[in-house]
Amino acid sequence: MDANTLKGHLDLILLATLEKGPLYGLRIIQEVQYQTEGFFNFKEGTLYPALHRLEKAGWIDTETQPSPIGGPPRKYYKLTDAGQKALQDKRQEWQNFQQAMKAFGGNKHAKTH
Amino acid sequence: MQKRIEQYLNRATRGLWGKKRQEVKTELHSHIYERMHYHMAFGKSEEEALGLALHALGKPAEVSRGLFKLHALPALGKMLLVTGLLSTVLVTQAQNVFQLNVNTRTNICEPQDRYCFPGPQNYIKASELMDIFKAQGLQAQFDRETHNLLLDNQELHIMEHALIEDDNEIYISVSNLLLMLYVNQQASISSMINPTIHFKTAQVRLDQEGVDFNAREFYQGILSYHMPKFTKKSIITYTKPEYADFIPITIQIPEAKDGEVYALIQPVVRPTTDSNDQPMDAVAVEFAQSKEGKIDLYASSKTFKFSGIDKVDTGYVLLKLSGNPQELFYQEVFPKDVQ
Repeated sequence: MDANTLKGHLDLILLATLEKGPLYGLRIIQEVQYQTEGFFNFKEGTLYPALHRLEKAGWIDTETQPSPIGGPPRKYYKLTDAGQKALQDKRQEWQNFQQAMKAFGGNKHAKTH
Repeated sequence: MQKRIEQYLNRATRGLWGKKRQEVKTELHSHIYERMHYHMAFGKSEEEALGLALHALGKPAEVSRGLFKLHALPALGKMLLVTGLLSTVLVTQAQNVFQLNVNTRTNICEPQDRYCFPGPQNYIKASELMDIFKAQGLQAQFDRETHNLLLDNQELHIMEHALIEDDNEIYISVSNLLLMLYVNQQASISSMINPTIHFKTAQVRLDQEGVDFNAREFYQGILSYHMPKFTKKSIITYTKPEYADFIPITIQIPEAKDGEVYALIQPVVRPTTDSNDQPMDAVAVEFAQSKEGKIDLYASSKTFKFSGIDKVDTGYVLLKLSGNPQELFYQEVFPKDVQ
């Protein structure tokens, strides 16, 4: 997958993944890969700057909890009210974008008319 | 294996500092640990699991690039804006200043060890120092056998008493390192509070997990190194309880830029003895860093006149110090406004 494709939609993907409940880094990645059947297969380290950016924007909040399998504590990310609102906006943007793109190949008949 | 993880974490969080760096390290460490646990559940060895976990995370330089842009650049930007630099300079400057954490450790000395200083001492991790120089495009290597520090083909020997080893990591005494770099004319040092080492194109700022690190000992070292040319007397600094007899003074030096380092040398107020209780002929020195055109110091009297360095044995002498070995180590200052 083209890195720019991911970059353009990463916020929507992460916010939508956290909509179901709080998750920590590795579980977010596994969830994204499971939901998209492996389409979004990115370097895991790039996830953290993205999560920290969303946290700075106030869209997600964090909570640290001990790991049940030992080792360092897990940092859980959860959606805030502002994040929920941002998710709605981004979904709407995505739908508008999809609609607009139909004219450029999304609609097979577009070129012939 | 722990070393490999630590190396990765250091590289991936390069450019961050203090509490933020520690937080990000813990988060990435947790990720590595969980990933390894996952692979080991499918029968991989610990070593294989670590290799897979690090590969999946990606190159540490790529991780650090994203984190640095997000966390460090805005903070550095703010800091530099305060000093009034043009915004076009910000990015270049910010990318060149790297932060290095200073650790405080308490030494327990054997009675026969004359080089050992008991009590808390400040150290930096040799591997972190090397990483930071390498990140700035310089060759850097520390040889554990010979205690030689190789920086861009310049060799610096670190004396054994300035090193400690803990958990397979080598730590170097900060004062010793700064002084050796200065004396060997390999690097210059600026500021006393969170000082910066300037080595060729690289800049490393020392910081103590968000707490100010004071490099007073380094400037005391410079004075002790040069002062025999001006006086045969020893240089001593007073400890805090001894300041009880002193008066706090504020000296106005309007032209002083923030971060300049000043030393006030004055007569001792009471008979001084050395560690063997023998009388000691000494002058007292105190250091301060300028801020907004002022320096705060302690003096034994409020009514005194500043003398030149030739009167250092008996008078009050104020010197502006330079940590650049290519410059004269002092400039005499004769301020008029002392409050």
